[in-house]
Amino acid sequence: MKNKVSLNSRVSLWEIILSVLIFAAAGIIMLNCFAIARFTQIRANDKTIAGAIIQSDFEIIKSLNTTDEMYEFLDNSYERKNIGNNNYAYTKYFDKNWNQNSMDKEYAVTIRISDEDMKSGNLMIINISAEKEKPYPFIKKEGMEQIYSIESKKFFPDFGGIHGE
Amino acid sequence: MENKNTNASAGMGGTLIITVFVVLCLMIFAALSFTTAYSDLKLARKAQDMASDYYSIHGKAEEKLSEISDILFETDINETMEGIKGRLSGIDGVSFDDKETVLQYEVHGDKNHKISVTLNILHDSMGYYYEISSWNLSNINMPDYEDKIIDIWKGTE
Repeated sequence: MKNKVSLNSRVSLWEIILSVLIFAAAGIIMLNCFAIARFTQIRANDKTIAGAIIQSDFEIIKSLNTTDEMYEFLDNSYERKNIGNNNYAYTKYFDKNWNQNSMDKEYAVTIRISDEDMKSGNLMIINISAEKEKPYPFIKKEGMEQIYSIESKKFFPDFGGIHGE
Repeated sequence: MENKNTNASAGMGGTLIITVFVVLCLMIFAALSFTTAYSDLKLARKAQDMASDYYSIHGKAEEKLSEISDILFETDINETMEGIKGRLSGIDGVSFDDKETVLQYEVHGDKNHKISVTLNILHDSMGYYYEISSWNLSNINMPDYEDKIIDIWKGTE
């Protein structure tokens, strides 16, 4: 007695075509989803790093006692650009890994300062922002993309006002 | 001799089931990776909002300090403390302590932050000036723990 078991793999052409179509359609969605997830993660990391850099520089400015000290710090750490009306913007550049680099400019941290003249000193309006030179993929935006921005004020008194212990 | 043929059809629908299963798995991974990344972005945005609020109220506190400084700068050395108090009290939110020379003000933010500033008003032969006695950042509303007994592990059984 001889038993024959024949495996009849009757995979129809239609089934294969349907499988490929489902896989292709789902693949496009999945690849998009993975890509969006990757750039969302990069955006989140950029925001965190930019926040740390901006807050660190702001705390340095807050700790200074005079406008001369502030401008000295800015001139030593940033590139100065005249933006008209005797106002200056101070910028430093970073590469894609957030290392300070003037050649490979991927990110820019810019400080804009305007001076509100008071009778007893200078009230500086300080805006610090971080921008990305090219927009993130999958986000339709033109020009530089702002990552982080904060604005505050710092009063530098000409006389008397001293910081106690 | 007898021949027995058994037909086992394994292909029909199997490819489709495997494809759907693989696609579902990949979809879940893609959704999970996006959710994780988006959570990180939301956290970073929240941290930015908090920092932005803090620097905003710091700016307002500095602005108020500059107004006080301007008033003291313009004050004549012979002016009485009562007169100075009257002029400084004109600034919104400024109040004086029981001690006449201690001035206080607060600046409130949107994210449960406030900055409380205490200044000592002093004078010398040149005129009046301020000295920053305290500059504190704190929460506006603290959580109420009064009715809650929290069972804290004391480190021993």
